[in-house]
Amino acid sequence: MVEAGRSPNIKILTNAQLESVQGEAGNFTARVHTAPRYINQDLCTACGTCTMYCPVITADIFNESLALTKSLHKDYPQAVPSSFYINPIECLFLNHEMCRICVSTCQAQAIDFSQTEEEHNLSVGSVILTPGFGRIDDEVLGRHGFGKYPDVLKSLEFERLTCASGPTEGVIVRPSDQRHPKNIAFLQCIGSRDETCGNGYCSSVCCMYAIKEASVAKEHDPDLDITIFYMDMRTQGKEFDASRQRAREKYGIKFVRSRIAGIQEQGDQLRISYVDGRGVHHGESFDMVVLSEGLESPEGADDLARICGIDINKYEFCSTKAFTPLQTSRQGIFVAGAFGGPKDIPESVTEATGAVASVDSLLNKVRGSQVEKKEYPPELVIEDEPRIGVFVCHCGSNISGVIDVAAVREYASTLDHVVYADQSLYSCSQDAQHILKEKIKEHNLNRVIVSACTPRTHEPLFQETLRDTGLNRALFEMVNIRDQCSWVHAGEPEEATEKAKELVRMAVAKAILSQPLPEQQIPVIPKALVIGGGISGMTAALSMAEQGFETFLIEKSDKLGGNLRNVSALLSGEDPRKVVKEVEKKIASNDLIQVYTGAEIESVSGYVGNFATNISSALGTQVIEHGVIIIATGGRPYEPKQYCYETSKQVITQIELENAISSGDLKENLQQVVMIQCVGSRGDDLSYCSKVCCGQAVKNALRILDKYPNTNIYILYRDIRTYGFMEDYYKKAREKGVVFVNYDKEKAPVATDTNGKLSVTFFDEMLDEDITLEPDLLVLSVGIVPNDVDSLSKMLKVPVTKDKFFLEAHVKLRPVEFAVDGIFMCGLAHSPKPVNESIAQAKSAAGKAALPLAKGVISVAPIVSKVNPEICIGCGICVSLCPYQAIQMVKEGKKKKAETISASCKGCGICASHCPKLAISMGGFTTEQIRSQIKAFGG
Amino acid sequence: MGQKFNPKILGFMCNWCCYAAADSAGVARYQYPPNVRTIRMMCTGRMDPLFIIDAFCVGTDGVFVGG
Amino acid sequence: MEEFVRKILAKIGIDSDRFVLKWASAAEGPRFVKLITDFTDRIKSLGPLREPGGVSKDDELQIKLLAARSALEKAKLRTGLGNLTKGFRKEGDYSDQQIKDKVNEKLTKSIGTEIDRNETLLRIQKQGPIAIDDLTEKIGVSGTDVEKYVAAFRKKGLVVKAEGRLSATK
Repeated sequence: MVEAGRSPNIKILTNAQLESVQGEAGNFTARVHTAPRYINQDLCTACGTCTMYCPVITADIFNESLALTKSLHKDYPQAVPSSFYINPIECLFLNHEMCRICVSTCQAQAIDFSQTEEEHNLSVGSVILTPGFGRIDDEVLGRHGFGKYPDVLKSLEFERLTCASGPTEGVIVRPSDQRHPKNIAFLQCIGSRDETCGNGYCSSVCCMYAIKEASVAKEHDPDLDITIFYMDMRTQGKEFDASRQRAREKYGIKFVRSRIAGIQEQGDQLRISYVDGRGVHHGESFDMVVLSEGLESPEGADDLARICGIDINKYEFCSTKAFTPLQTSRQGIFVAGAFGGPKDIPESVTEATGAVASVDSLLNKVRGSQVEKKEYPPELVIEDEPRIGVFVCHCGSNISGVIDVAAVREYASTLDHVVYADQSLYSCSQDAQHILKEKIKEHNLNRVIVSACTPRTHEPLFQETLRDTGLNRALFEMVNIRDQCSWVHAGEPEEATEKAKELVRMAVAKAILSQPLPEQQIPVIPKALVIGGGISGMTAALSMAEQGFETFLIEKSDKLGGNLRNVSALLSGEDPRKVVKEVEKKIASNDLIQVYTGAEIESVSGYVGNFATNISSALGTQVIEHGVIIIATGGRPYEPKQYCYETSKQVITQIELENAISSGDLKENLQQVVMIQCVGSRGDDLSYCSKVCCGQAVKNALRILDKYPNTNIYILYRDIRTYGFMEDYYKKAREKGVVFVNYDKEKAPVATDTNGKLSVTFFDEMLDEDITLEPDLLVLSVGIVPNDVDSLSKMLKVPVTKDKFFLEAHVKLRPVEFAVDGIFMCGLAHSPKPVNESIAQAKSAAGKAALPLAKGVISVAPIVSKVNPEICIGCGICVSLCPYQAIQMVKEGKKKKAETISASCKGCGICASHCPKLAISMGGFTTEQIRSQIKAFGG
Repeated sequence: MGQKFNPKILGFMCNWCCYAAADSAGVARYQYPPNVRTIRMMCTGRMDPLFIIDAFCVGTDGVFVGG
Repeated sequence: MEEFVRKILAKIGIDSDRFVLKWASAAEGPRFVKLITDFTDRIKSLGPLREPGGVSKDDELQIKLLAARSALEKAKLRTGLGNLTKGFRKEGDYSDQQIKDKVNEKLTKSIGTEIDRNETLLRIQKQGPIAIDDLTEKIGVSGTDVEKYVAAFRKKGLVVKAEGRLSATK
C-alpha cells in the first residue's frame, strides 16, 4: 500500500466516484468526480495534532462503530494516502460555519476549507474494476438477532475485537456488559446460500475466516468454548483443511453440522436452537454469537455496470467467463477481486496482477511512454574527511513540544566531524529541501543526518534531495525522534531530550563510516521460460508473448493441452477442448513463442534476469537464455485402488465418465448411479481437498440427467464444496432429484464386487441405517496429485509443501512468487483448482514475470551484501543460509569464494551475521557501522 | 533512598517488524518508558551475537532484539 | 542465535534475562509498547548490571565480557554457530526444544573453552606478569585447561614465562 502511495506513476484519487467511461479499448476517457477531503495532502505531515483538537466525536466506522473517533481523522495509522480527512457530514464548520479549531492547530497549514468538488477527465488505455464486495443488509442479519441482542456480532465486528490495534486492543468483551464471554457460537452462511435474501451463492470465504477468528480468539483466551454451526465446511483452499484440523485438534473448537432454527435471549445469554443431521432438535446457550456474514455484491454495482457498459450477473457481481475470468463484457475493461465473485485475499491479489497482465497485453506498444522518470546529476567524489551536517526538525510542535530541539542541535554541533547543525520547522517541506541543498553546498557536507520522524516514510524523500545535489543516497542517515521519541515520551521531556541527543550521537558515529554505495543496474534478458504446457502454462506463455516478450514453452509430453484434453464440458457449458485448440492456434501463430514438446529440463543456472537452462528434446540438448521462469508443471488425477476400481468395470472415475458421456459410450437406460466424493482426498491418501471434484460430480450428474432424466443419482459426500456461483448448480442438481448423502470419514461407504455384481453400502444419517444399492455405475470423484517436481525444485532451489505443491513466497500477498526472485508459479503446481482460477493465476504469474523484463534492468537497492574475497575462506555457510539464493560460490584460482548475486539480495544480513570471518558487509549496515553505533551508545 | 535506577537499554529493531510497530505505537501516542535506544536493521537476520556482547561491554543494562 | 547468546551470557555471569528476542508485526503497536514496558521493568527489577560509575576497565565482569567479545570475533565459535543454523535450515526444525538441545550438544563446550582461552590471554596481557596459579584461580576453571591454553600461546610466541610468571609479548 505504501509502495503504491509512493510511486510517482500511481495517482491516487480518494473520495472519488466514476461517472463515465467513454471511448474504446486503448483509448478511454474516464470521468471521475472527487469530493474534497479539506486537507491538502501535500502539506499534511500526518502528525495528528488536528484530530486531537477536533471537538466532533463520532462513531469510528473503520472499527465497525465499536469505538469513537473524530470528524477529522484517519481510519488507521498505515492508511494511504497518509493524510487525515474531514468528514463533511459531521464537521461543525462545514455545517454551521463555526469551530475551525483544526485550522489554528495545524502548523503545516494543511487544512483547507476552500477545497471544492472536482471533475477529472482521465485519458486511459484500459480500466480495471476493483470495487470489492458489499455488506449483507442489517435486515437480513436482524433475522438472526443482530440489532436486537447486543451480543450478536457481525464477523467483522468480532474481527475488530480480536485485533491488537482494534477498539479493545484485542480483548474480547461482550458489548452488553463488557464481560469476557465464556463461550461463543459462530453461525455460518448468514446472507449466503440463502434464497430468502436473494443470495443463492456461497460466499466462499466465511468458513475459513470463521475458523481463523475462532482460532485467534482461542489464542487470546484458551478457556473459551467455541462452536461453529455449519451446513458444509467449505475449506477448499490450499492448506485450508489443515487449518480446520488444527482448529479442532489444537484449539478444541467444535464443529456442528446443523441448520439453525432460531436464536433467543435467555437470561443474559443467547439460546440457539438447531436441527442436526439426523433431524433432531437441540438447544444450546452462548455468551456471544458471531454471524459469519457473507460477501454481497458491492454497493452501487448496478450503477457501475451501467457507467462502464458491462454485464453483471443476477447477483449483481461482474459477469465473467470461465476461460476469461478477468475480462468483463466490454473490451479493455477488466475485473479483479470480489466484484468478479466472492473470493479471498490470495485469489484477489492473484487476479489483480493477472488483470495487469491483460492490460499490458493491450497496451504494451505504448509501455513506458507516460512514465515519470527522474534524472539526477552525476555523483560527486567525496573527500575522505567526513563533513557531517545535522538537521533537527521541530515537526511543528510534534517534536519541539516535548524535546528541546535547540539543545539537541547544540549538542549535535559538538560531536566529532559535525561541521554544521541546524533546526527547521518542517524538514520535509519543499522549502526545507531547498535549504538542505544550499547548506550541503555551502558547507561542503558529505554526510547528512536528519533528526525528525521515521526513515520508513521519509528516508526516500531526503535521499532524493541528496541525489539532487550529487551526493550518494547511502550518505544519508535519519534519526527518529518523533514516532519513537517525542510522541511516546510526552510526559518526560528531559528524558526524551536526552534520548534524542544520544540517538543523534549514535547516528553520527554511524555516518562517519558511511561510504557511497554504487547504484547497481543489472541487465535483464527479456525472455521467459514457461515449464509445463497445460492450460496454465499455455495461458502464461501466451500472455508473456502478448506482452511483447519472447517465450519458451516446454512440455514434457508430445502435445500441449494437459488435463483439459480429457474434459469435455464445464459446469457453465463451455467445451474446454475447443478452447485448448484455440489457444494452441494462437500460440502456433505467435512468432514470439517457441514450443518444445517432448522436452525436459536438464539443468538451470543463473538468477533473475540471467538464467541459462539446458533443455533436452528430440532435437537434442539446447541451452536457452532467459530472464524469468514460470512453473506450470501441473497435476494429474489420483489413481484409485479403493471401491473395487481395479476389479469392477462398473467402477469408473469422473474423467472416465466424462469421456463416456462425450463419446456417447454411456450405457443406455442408466437406472442408478452412485458417486463417491473425496476418493483419495482429505486424509485418505492425500491430506488435502482437491477443490474441483464436488463441482465435477454435480456437473456430471446434471449431464447424465440431461440425457436420461429418470436416472437415480446418489452423491455421497463429506462436505459439498460448490463454492461461489457453483452453488446454483448444486441447487439445480438437488431440484432435479439428485440425492446427496453425507458420510463421515470414519464411516465411509463400502463397495463390494460379488461375481461381477457391484453393490455399495453406506450409512444414511437421516434414516439412521445402512443402505445397500446395486448401481449401474459407481463413479469415483478422485482428487488431484501434483506432478513429480522433486528434481525441478532442487534445481531451482525453490520449496515445495509436504504435499509436493510449490510453496509461494507469501500465502496471501505474494501468491504466485517464490522467495527467490525471477521464478513464478501457477496452476495445479501451486494447488488443486478449477480452470478459471488456473487461468487467472497463469495471467498473474505472467504479470509478475513481465515486471523485470519490461524494466529491462534490475535496480539494486544499495543495502545488498558484499563479500570481501581477501578474507572469505569459502566455508559456504552463507550460501546455505541465504533465504533468497543470493550468494553463490565462485572459483578464484584454486580457491572457492562466496559472491553475492546483487540482483537477488534483499539485504537481510543473515550471511554477514553468520560469517565466521566477518568477511561480509551489508550496504548501509556494516559490522563496523553497527559496532560504532553501539560504542556511541555507551557514551 | 539512593538515586532511582534508570536503566540503559539498547534495542535492535527490524525495519519491517518491530521498528514499524514502534512507529505505529508513536502514531497512536502510546506512552512507554524512555530507556531504550534503538539501532535499526533491515532484518533481525543481521543480528550478530557480537553486537550483544559489544553492548554489554559499553555498559548497557539490557538488550532488546525486536524482530 | 538467541539460545547461543544466552549460553554466552550465562558463561560470563550475566543474567540471561537481560537479553530478549521478541516479535511484533508492523501493526502491533500496542504489543510493542507492552514488550518494551515489560522489558524495562524487568531490567529495573534486576537492578544495574554494574556498580555506579559505569564501565571500569578492570572489573571482573568487563574482563569476562572482553574475553567473550574476542571469542566472538574469531572464526571458531562463529563457524560453530553458522553450521548449527545451517543444520536447522536443512532439517526445517526450529522448535525451541530442538534449538536448546542442539546448542547444548554442539556449542556449549566450545563456548566455555573459547571464552576461557581468550580470558587467559587477556588477563596475561592486562595483569601480567602473573603466576599461573593466580590466573587459574581468577578464571575459575581447572589448572590443566589453563596450562593447555598457555602452552599454545607460548608456542605462538604470544606469551613468555619468566621467573615462574607469565607475561604477554608486545
